[in-house]
Amino acid sequence: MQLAFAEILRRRGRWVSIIGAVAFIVFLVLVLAALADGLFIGMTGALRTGNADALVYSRDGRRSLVRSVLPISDLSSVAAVEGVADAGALGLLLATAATGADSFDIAVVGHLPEHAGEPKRLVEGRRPELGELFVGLADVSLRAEGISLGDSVTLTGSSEPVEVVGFVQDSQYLLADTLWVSLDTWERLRFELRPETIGLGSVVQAFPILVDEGADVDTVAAAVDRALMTTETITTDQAILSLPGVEQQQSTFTAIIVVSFVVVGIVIALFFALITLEKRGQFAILKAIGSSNPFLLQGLLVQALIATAAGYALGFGLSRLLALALPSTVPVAFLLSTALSLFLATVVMGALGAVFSFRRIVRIDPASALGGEA
Amino acid sequence: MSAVIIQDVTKVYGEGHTAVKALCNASLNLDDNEFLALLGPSGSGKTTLLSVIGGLLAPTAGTVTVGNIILTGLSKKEQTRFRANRVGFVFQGFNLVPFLTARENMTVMASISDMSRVEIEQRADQLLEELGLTARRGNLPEQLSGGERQRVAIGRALVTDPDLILVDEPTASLDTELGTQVVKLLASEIKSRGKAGIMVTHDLRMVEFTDRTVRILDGELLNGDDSATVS
Repeated sequence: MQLAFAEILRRRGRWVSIIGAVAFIVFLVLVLAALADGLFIGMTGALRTGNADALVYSRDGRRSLVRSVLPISDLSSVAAVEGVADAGALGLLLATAATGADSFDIAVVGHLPEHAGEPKRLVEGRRPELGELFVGLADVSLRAEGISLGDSVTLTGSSEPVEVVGFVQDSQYLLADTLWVSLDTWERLRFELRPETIGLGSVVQAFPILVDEGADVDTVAAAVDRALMTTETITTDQAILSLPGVEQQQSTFTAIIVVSFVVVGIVIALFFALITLEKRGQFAILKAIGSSNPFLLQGLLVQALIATAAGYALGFGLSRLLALALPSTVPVAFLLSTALSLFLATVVMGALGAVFSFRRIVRIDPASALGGEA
Repeated sequence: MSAVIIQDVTKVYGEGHTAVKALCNASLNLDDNEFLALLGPSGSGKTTLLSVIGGLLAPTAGTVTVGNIILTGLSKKEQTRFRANRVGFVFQGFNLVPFLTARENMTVMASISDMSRVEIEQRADQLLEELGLTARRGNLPEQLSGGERQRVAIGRALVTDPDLILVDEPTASLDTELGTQVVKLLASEIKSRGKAGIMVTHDLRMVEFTDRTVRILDGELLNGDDSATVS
């Protein structure tokens, strides 16, 4: 420990360079992870916010919310399946709304209030009363479009404006702002905006369900599909990954982040390999005077921990500065859980890099300290 | 009482046609309070013998006993522990840890040996005073003169109160005057503590400060086991 700390304190130059190198990689990784998290959150909020265990789609919809069409009359059959604790409904209408001269994309989501699938995180205002028409809950992202509590959103092609009585958080659908209305309001808007769908009658896109406590979601899902014959029921996680682009996006970002961590490991390994080479004689002396391999490994790990932790702290600080500078339209989310897991990954990669060099130290013959070889 | 007993020690490097015999049936006794010079030309086997006595190399044949410890058959771990607690090394050149101060170069032994940190620190302070280094205790090796660095190295070798001090060419990188001072100091520190010491050297001028000289040539001790005398 004494050796490890003293070397870093008194050989600051070289340690600052390795800490800087780790900091820049960590910065890159944190920003990438924040983008990945931000995109994931922005794309999947509508499916996550309802806290449903599973979603019932029409089988021919092939796990797509926009392709799936289910008659609302099937809802009672779904609710009656053993193991289903609650069933709600989700209808999706992609539309355009305008505030003054600006227009923007909006996803109008019809749902059954007080049932599964209802957005949970109300952050401002109130929920619509049962039976109250043309009022809704807006995602907080709509504030960026200038919408405040009490404002009305008029959809292009609709004569009836929807009043925003509350704001909910984390309920976007594929990065589009969402407006959550009751199924009755949603159907009226749909008939107005998509008159060609009037012939379909009362339909929705999915039935979000909650299963009984202790029940197996997959088993209940299979029971629903057996009972209705025309449905495909999948867990919410599966539904999220079936959203267009989500899985591909996740795997792309994950690949970049994993590669960056491998780079962290390689950078640390190369750094320690270089200083080990340079300190060969010193290690031989230390081994000759009685330093054990575990003692030397301990010093190496302490140094790797300090280098990676300091590098991480610096990289984290830089990423926070960037977050302050980024416009709100960029979907980034700096999550504590991500930051913690990336910290652990950084430290582990640093330790692995250091251990790689330790093999060289083990091979140094203490006898080489004598005879002027060291 | 003998501090070191070397009996018929042979050390062979390599195997078959490439085998090189670095030591050949070497036998030697060294008493407590005795400082011995091991004199020989380059490649004569003196460093190998020092390594074998210091628990750095295992002999191919023969036995080495230091105090009450028989080195033959010790595991690597036991050898390491033996070196940390029973032997003090003074290496050729200075070989101090460059980023530790004079005092830290001694107290680092607290992390290595079995002696408590408090005891090591007390001994280090005492040695710094004895070696005239108290004012330089906070200096890094690069801020010390050649003689001061060698004195720190002597302090490091003595700080764990070892039974045996092994000294490898202490004058190799010093001029004659400084070299003489260092060897005199070494001899006085070793003798005043009643330790056993072995100094490898090829510098004939230094043998006058030792009790006895043993010559080595081609791996054979020329006047070893019978304790025959000087150069």
